[in-house]
Amino acid sequence: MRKLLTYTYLLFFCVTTLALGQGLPMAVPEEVGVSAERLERIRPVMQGYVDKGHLPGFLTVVARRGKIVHFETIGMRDVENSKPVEPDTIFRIYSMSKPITSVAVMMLYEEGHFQLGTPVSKFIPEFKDMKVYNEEQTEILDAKKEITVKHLLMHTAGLTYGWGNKPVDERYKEAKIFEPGSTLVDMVGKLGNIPLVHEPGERWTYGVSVDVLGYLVEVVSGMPFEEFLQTRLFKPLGMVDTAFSVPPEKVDRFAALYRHNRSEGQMKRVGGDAPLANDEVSFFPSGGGGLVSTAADYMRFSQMLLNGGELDGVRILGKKTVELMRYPHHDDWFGLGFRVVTRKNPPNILNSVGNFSWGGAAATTFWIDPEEELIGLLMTQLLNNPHPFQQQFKVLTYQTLTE
Amino acid sequence: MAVYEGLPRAVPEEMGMSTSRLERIAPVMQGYVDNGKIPCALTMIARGGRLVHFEKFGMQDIAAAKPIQFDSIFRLYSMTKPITSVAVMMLYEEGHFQLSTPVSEFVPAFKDMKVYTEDGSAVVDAEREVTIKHLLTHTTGLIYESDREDHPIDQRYEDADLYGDDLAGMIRKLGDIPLIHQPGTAWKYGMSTDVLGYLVQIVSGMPFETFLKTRIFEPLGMNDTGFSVRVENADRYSKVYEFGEDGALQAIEKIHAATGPLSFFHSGGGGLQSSTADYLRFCQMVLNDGELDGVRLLGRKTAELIKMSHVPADWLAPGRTGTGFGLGFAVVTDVAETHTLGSVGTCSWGGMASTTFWIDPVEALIGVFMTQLVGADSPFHAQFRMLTYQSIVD
Repeated sequence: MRKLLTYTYLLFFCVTTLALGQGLPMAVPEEVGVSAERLERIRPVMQGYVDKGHLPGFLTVVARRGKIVHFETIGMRDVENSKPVEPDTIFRIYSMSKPITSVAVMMLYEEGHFQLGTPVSKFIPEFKDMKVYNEEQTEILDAKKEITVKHLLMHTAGLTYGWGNKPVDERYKEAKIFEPGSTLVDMVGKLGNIPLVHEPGERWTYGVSVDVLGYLVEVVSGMPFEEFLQTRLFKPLGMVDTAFSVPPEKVDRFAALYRHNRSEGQMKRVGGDAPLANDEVSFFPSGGGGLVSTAADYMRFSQMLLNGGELDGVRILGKKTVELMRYPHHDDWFGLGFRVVTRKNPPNILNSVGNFSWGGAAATTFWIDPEEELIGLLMTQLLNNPHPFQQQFKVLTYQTLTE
Repeated sequence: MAVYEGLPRAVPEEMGMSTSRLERIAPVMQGYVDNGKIPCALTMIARGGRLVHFEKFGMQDIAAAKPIQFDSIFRLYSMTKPITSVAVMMLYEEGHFQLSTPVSEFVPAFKDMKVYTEDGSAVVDAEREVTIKHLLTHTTGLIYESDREDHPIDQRYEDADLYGDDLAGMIRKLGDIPLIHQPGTAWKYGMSTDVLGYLVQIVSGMPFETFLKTRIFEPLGMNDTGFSVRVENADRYSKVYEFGEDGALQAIEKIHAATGPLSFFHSGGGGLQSSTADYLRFCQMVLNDGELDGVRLLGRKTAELIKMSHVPADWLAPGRTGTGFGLGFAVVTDVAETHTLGSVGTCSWGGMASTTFWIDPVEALIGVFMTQLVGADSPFHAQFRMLTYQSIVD
């Protein structure tokens, strides 16, 4: 009898820890309209990339109707030291930070602190009286419009990343926007002095907009950006490993970063000079790309959004706010923090209208499909990725749906 | 049900709203009162036919230190227009006219209208007749004022003193002033709904006020709504304010469209006085596709028609992006372009004294916001709407 009790207890213990390790409860795929047999098609495709040495490793997750039906690890989190990807491996999510920062902004919006059309300069004086380049970047003019909160959420502010070789890019590089050890105040100070690449609202330009939003959260909430994220978002949602740094006790779980080398066609390990890194384990508090996270944590964040703002009784956003975030605000494809699939702009891949998604520089990606109540998440750590595994993972996931 | 609440109450959670999130409304509104940005505010929210939020802030009469009450009576101004439009559609349903019927069939003063050329320098014949639908959608070419400084039409409107005598007089004067554009070619806010009030009078054969009272207000139990405030209710009638030169709130002495301390011109576009509860009942009737508590004012298809946008999406822009115009109110056609939380198909309008309401058929949601301030300079409408929507959890 005692043996049976112990066994039952152990089984219960295993099941609960396993579930927590994956972020959401598990289900037999068939119970939620997914074919277990078809799910088995995912692993060999992903394994192929690892076997060829194209990628260090993967973690792929599929959840439907709030239940995990697929959670697999493939390959290494550290190739050189033969450490495999584990369910609790910590990854640099880079631009997958942006949806998180956007949610933080919308939480403050919901408290009535500002309108989406409110000029950012009301909270960040550095953005008053901005300059703007002409089309050819031969002249600098006064900006006619103010940058609004919505421009920042939509990437239409005229801020950029400075990755090109035009005059504006030189200014970004000289300014060292994300200089290790500097602060968000330093960052907006530098950005306020660089002309915009176009008038606010004129077109979509990927850039540091969401980093400015991180600072906005700091100013409006009156607490450091990371403290807001930790106390208002990560802790309530149980996202225990998401942060701008990896503490010493978790360093062993932190995946190594690799970069695809175009000339050699192979991947190379990247050290402390990783993008946004202050050092090996801490990052600039970049709302646009500084976070590290786990598959379990990001699944919980995604499920909160799929549920219309709530998870396990914790409400982060109102239903209409999530609806607004995944509504196409720009050119029928971009919402407030996400790419959105619309009827006017249909995808050329298995997908649903209303699907919202984004990815990160190290080839991580996720999507949330309200119509199918489906979430897909792919974690890896490869910069400059040339391979189509994200699309393959998506197709392989959608082909498993049977109802 | 307390009479002043309009609809039965429900616990917000029963209607998919969060009580704790609704509590975010009060500090924002109280802030505006404390900072002297608004004399008073009543905020009211109903979902699924049940009242889930009704709060009051500030003063009905600042000088007398008299707080606003839940049953205070307000000048609706342009929130009169949806009511007049419903009256017109009730007569439409009786078969008296088509939406495309020329108004001149009932109102001869509108026969052979003249129209200003685009620059206002000359006057030409109207290319088509003004129809009833033009009046309902503000596409007639009738205005309140032009958006230009030197357009001769503004002097004509001013000289006409349109509210100087009665509805018949107003119509005679309006028929003599050229339209600002050819009928049906643009959206311009103006006197159209006042003309509709007169149309109701002609078609129904009873004074406009009597039609509203016997056919809408009494059946719906809107006992505090009318063109005048009954003497016994004078104590509940809120003062109306504006900002003085020193930036402080001051009571308005010469009240627009008023004909006496308790009475207004019978303007279908802006003459009604009402309470928050009364207006909620009107909104709930519209949300319910024409019926409330067993009283049916409009058929379902008619209610659907008035809630559809009938003008091209960009005609109201740039002032109201993402918004078209139905038969009596604005209708959201693109949520993204409204830059706030909401639903496609949401109908709304406001009044000159900064009152506003909206009806969201997707969420079965109604918001009514009452105050009495001409020339508001704060975004409390947008905030009230956003704060309401963020409270929806199901």
